[in-house]
Amino acid sequence: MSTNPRNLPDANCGFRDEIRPGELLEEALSALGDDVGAVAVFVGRVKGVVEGKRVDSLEYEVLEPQASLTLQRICEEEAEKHGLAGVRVYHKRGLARVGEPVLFIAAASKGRREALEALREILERVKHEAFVWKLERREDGEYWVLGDSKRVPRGQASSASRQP
Amino acid sequence: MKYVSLFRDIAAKKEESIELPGGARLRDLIRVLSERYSGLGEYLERGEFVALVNGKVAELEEELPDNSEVVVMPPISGG
Repeated sequence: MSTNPRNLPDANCGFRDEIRPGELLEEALSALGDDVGAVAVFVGRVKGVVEGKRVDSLEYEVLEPQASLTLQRICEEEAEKHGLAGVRVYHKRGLARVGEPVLFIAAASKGRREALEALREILERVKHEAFVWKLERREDGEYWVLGDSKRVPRGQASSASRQP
Repeated sequence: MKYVSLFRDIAAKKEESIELPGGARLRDLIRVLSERYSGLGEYLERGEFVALVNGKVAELEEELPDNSEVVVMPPISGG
């Protein structure tokens, strides 16, 4: 089990080329002490259909070093806020195919309430703060995803420029 | 000046240099970008963006130090 520089509980967060939820959960569980009674887990994956259109892939663009620093800060702050025994957040970078896991979050605590609340808050923060953007490739073209759900067709975006 | 994601497409470049008068604020730079790239102005004027000045999230009234590196990016879409 590794610890972060602030001596908070097991907090490991970062970006990876591949997210393997089974292995990550096993690692997280093996790092826990006997006082932990709950581990809340979230796994995000690429949807195959959006707005009725077949999706081929998502391309995750990550701005470093801000993205990794922000993930680590979210982990540390939420661990402290909820008194977690452990927290792990791993986010995909690069190309992701339909069905591929792209986000793994595990929050561990003595009781279920803290773990579940932390899980929800970490998820929302990662979606809005993590310096990550998605390009969605689907049967009717490419779309930039902005925020939670706004989609902008890629070609349309570049043609709106006044200067080349 | 660096552009990310959708904004890189609109500007059709990853980065460029922009000169502003001394004492300029982030708001002044945003105005220049909106005039230069109409597609970008659509988002900037609605506040649909995040800006980093020298690696830190900045507010519109923040003054830009000499040789600042500014990154403008659309709303984050993690997960």
